[in-house]
Amino acid sequence: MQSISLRIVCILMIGAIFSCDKLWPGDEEPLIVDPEPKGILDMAFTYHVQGIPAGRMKKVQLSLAYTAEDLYKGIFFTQANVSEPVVHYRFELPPGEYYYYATVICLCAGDSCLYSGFPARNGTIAAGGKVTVEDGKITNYATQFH
Amino acid sequence: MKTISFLLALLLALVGCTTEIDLMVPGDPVPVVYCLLDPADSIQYIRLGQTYSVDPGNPDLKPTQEKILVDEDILVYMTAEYTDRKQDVYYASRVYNIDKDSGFFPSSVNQLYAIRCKIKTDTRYSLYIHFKESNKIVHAETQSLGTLFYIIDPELVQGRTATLLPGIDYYVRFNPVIHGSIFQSTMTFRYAEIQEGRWADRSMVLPQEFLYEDDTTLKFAEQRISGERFLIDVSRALKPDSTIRRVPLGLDFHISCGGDDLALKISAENNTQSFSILEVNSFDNAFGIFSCLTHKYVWNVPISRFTLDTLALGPMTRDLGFLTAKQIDSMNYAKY
Repeated sequence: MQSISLRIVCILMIGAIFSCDKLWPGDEEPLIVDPEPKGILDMAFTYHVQGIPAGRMKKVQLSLAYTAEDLYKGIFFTQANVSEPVVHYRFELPPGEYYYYATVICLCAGDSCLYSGFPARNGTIAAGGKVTVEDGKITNYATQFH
Repeated sequence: MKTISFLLALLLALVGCTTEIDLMVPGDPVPVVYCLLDPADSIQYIRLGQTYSVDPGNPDLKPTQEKILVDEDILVYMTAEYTDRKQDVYYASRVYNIDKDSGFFPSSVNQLYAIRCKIKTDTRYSLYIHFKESNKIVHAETQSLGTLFYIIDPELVQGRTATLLPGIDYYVRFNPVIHGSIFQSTMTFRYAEIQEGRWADRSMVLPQEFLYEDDTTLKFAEQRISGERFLIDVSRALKPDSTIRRVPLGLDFHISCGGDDLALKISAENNTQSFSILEVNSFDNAFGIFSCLTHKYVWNVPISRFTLDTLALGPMTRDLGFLTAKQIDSMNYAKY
């Protein structure tokens, strides 16, 4: 009788040990992946050109390129949806160096655009430059139109 | 005897004064009125109908025209109240030349009245419907939109394009409106399908959620259109077909602004806690809505090269036959 009880206890213990080891679907250890390091680039799209009244200049484009060559060739990897009342545009990016490209258009009639440095009426001027994104930080830059 | 008679008369008078007389007997049809004043239009429309009993054995049975139309001589008029003493009165006339949209109710049933009237801003309007035979008056009041409604974004600027990608959303922006507290944007994605050399213009309507905004001190109100959602919707709506090539053409936007009463009504209907959609009702002696609704449109917003290439090559939509930006350039199709 005692040996039967002992056997039952042993069987139960073995069962308990194996059932603890059993991994059911979904019970696996969660795979912990290190999040890709990211930083935030905050671009302030500002412009002021002498001689052009407010409302006659509009934002056209704010894009980012990986290299200066890409910037020159117009190969961009992302673009913001620009809007007149919105100044700041944020991009979440891996740390590194990037090149921004921003353009504005002149909508004045007559020669005002030409006298203010635009190539023509409905012409655009561009600003570009290098920006650096640091891991876990918000880096602030502003567009520089000359 | 005189005292008793006097007391009885007094009692009768008192009881008589406190008894409310119901104008409508339960089970009688109740008028249903829809009127949404549009400040951008010079004609305002009033749609009239009435409730009907649903056959319990066949609740899906469409009602007949007789059940819904109000078969009675009626007078419809509206007043614009500027001060206690100054008001304008506008009379409505029945119109027959506008067909009802498709839907559950028969399309022949469209009891519509038109009032030639330009809606002024921030003005109190009252709508009256006088049922001459039953001598019943239906009445509602509303305040017109306090300011003009205009769109800030999308703004058509030469060279500016719209990008919709995972992580890049598009925003529709507009001015907050006094007495206008509900907004909705609808984006229409237009594209062409090329099959065996034949072109066919197609479109896909993507209505956005309602936006409730009554803070008129804001510089602008905005509604976000998710870039990821756009791609998911396109991937679900269009069927892959190896014989079809697709060319995105542009985006159209339709933005609506509704008055405070409409906002209240819609929010009550969308409230799961609400037991009845009739809890919020603009009318005395009727069901329905009397408020304001105005619309703005922006057509032909160009799609960015990023979005074109993502539609063509992205994992969600690459089987749908969209051309890349470069392929579209090389086609040099006069339309673009």
